[in-house]
Amino acid sequence: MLPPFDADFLRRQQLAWSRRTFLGKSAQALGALALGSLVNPRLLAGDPPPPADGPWRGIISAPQLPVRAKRVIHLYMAGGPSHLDLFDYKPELNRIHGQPFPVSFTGGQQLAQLQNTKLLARGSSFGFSRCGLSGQMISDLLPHTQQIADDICIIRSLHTEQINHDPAHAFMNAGSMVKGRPSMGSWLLYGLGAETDNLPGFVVLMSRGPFGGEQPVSARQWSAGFLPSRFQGVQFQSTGAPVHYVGNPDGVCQSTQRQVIDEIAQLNGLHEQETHDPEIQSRIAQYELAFKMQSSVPDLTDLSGEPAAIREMYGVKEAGDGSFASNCLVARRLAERGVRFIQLYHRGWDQHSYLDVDIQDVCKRVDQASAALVTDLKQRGMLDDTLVLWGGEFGRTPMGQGSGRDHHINAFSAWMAGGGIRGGLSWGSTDEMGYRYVEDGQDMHVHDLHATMLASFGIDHEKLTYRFQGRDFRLTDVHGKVARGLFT
Amino acid sequence: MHETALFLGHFHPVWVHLPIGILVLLGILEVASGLSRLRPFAWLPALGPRQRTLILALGAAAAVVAAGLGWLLSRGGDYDPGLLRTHQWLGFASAGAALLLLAVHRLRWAYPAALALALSLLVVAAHAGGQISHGTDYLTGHMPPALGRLLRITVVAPPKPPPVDFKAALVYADVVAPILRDRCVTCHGGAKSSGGLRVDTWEFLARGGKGGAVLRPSAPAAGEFLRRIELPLEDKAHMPPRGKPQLPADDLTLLEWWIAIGSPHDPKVADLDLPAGVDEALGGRLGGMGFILPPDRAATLARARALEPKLGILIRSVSADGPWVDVNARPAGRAFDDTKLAALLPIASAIRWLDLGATGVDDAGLAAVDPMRRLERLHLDGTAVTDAGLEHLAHLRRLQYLNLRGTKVDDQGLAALKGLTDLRAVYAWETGISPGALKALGDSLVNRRKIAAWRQQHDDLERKIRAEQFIGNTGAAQATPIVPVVTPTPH
Repeated sequence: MLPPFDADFLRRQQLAWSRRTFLGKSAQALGALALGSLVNPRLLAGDPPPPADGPWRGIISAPQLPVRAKRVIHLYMAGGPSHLDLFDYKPELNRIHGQPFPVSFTGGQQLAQLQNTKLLARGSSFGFSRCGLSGQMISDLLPHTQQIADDICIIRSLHTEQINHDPAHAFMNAGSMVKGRPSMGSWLLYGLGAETDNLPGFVVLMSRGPFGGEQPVSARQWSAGFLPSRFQGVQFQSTGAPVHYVGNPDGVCQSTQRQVIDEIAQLNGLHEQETHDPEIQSRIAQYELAFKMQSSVPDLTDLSGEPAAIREMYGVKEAGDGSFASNCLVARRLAERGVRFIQLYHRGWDQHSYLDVDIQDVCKRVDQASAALVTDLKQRGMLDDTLVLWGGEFGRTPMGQGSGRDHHINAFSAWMAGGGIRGGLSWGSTDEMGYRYVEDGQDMHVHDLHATMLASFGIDHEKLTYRFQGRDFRLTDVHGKVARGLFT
Repeated sequence: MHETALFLGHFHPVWVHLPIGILVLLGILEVASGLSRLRPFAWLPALGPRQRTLILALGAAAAVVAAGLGWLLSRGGDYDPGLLRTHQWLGFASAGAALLLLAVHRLRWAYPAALALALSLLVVAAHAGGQISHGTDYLTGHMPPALGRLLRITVVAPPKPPPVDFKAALVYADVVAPILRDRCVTCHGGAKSSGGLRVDTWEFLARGGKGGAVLRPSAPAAGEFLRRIELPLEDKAHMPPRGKPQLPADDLTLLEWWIAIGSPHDPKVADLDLPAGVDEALGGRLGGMGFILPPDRAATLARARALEPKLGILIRSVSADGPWVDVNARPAGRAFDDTKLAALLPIASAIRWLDLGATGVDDAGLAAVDPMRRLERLHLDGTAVTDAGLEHLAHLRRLQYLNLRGTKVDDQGLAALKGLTDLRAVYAWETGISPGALKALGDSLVNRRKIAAWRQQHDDLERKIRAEQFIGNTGAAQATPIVPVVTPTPH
């Protein structure tokens, strides 16, 4: 009888080899190796292995695809922005505004809160304009984003599988609603490491609207899941001290602190030699990182050196005020310092009611800084290798829900910029109601988005795997196709 | 008549092995026969007189025919007269010795000596023949030097990759000549000069063969030299002839490039523009001699691993199999100075991307960037670099991206970038560079005529695609495209 859920069983069984099995397998392995090295002489030569100690340099020693991006800034519009009011112009929907929504679209479909209610079409109250040389259609709610139309690629055919916030966030972050899966930032860190040893490679910042009561975002969204915990995202506080207790208490100086860290690392190292628990390695690395953050974090969040013009461009009223604008400015500074994955959540897009009023407020909070970030990265020459992703976990229904819209998974919009993405491109489309993506080869499931993002880093999403409980897992599960047309 | 003679003569190298085989076998059988009289070797066969006569008669006849064929071949010329004379006389002597042997083989006292003489002559003659067709050092060319010293033979060492410094490598002496030496000189050299052409020195090559000049520096495409090489393998006139070792692709690339630039003798490789493909091929030919040439992947990555901790920088491979790397010195900050930049020299030729942003590198230090001829992206933002420093970038013809943000560079500095035709992005925010000057630079680098031509091609293709659309109208209100050939064009 096996004990239930014994994850270690397979490993122990693999180790429990008899002498005979060992010799037999060794001989076979040698034969296979010899044949393999005849066929491919580089097999045994290989690339030099990454150093065993020191900072994590990533599991991928050579890219499988052309490398375009080196870091991601994900402007995460939590709550589900209405694609119909921001990026997906639907005159036909406007025409039937207030009339019953055609059953041909909704028959037999899963809806969230609108299940079993009378479905009425809801057009957008806002105007759209053709912008830039590319002529991309963008809502007048986003005047600053309209200015960068030629730098961004708008994807209108996104679709997901999860209709409620928390599982949908998990799906957007980890490609699965199941708990315990690593988020994309963790995957990227596991694959490539970071370009800094002084800050975490995956940093999360959070901002919100003025009213409170927005949907929460749980810390599992930046969890490393079954990957070693050193790859998980680290949330910095948007107001006050970005990292609590990072300063030394009175009477402790840096040299004392250094001694303490060294001593603890030594003790942990001894324990690690006995138990071989990878989590101890993580712990040693985190002590070291925390020590370095004692000087790197204050430098990071000291925005006094930023010229007034730059702060004005982002719309930062007061540095470190917890606004999305302030976070965007910090995000740029994080990117400059070599952080691999930067995720800025802005809560406040869940407009089930009073959409027309609320969306204007949230757009004001987000639009200017988003566009400023792209412009700023561009003038610094950083947009070439920084991938900016702007979008939420799902879209909103073309059917009205009182004065708002319900959650919608069959279609939503996002934009990407930089990192080798073609600016001024519109990718994918929806039907005339904005209800469902059109299958024209440009449709983009969340798995496809993940595959495409990894591809911009030179990673073949099918090859970035981690063995857990006897199976090789990847960010894209068993799906995902790279939208090659997005790349320059 | 002459042609028939040559036709027959060309059988000499084939036929010549027959008498050698027969007579050598006879020698072996005689030794075995002699040994069989001793008790321990009683099991060996004894050679009967009739067999001996038959074998000898065949061997002598074959030797006479071989000598005759050889004489016919020698009339075709093209061989080193000295070597030829030696071989010819030794060959005739061998045939004569075989006949003599046949004549005296019944005489018990004369036979063994005659056999030894005939076999000795045969071996020496064969060796002389080998020297004619395979070169004088065909046996000793790859001899271990120790053995050479023991035998007191001067071993001609295989040509070594000469200078250690890439800057000193000459295009003819260090690149082209070794290729010719490997593949052409055996037939077109001092020992044998087929078609009257010798290629063992540049002067001979420039002089040409019986048919005239083979190189046309003024009209490279018209030269006979490359034409013969590029003929299909099946063609009779193809060089090297079918069956001989052919030119490896890299060597062919190099020869084509050398011919295209007018087959010069003097210039240094470093002073020439190396188009894509040529520099890779150069790397193979010149081996580890240069630091500018693409190095070996494993060696590069091993060096990179060693450099990383020492310099406090990050080096990543940027291609799945090539040696190309991305060097990021930004994490090292101001501590990364000119000395540390110079320490990158061992991997300089492999660097595709180099981020020196916010480091302590200055104008003088940028001299170390000059050997990085494969550089595509270069960050200098936030450094102390000025116009003087940019002059070190003038040879980075692969450069596509240059970030000068926040440096003291101004319009004067852009002059150094004039020749960088691949350059597609210059970031010059917070510098002294004016928009007008930058635009002028861009205009000089971008080929607008090419773009216009491509636009035209693109439009033509789109028109063709549209013309392939099929509209099926069954009388409904609107006609629907049944075969949507065109996916919605992004706009």
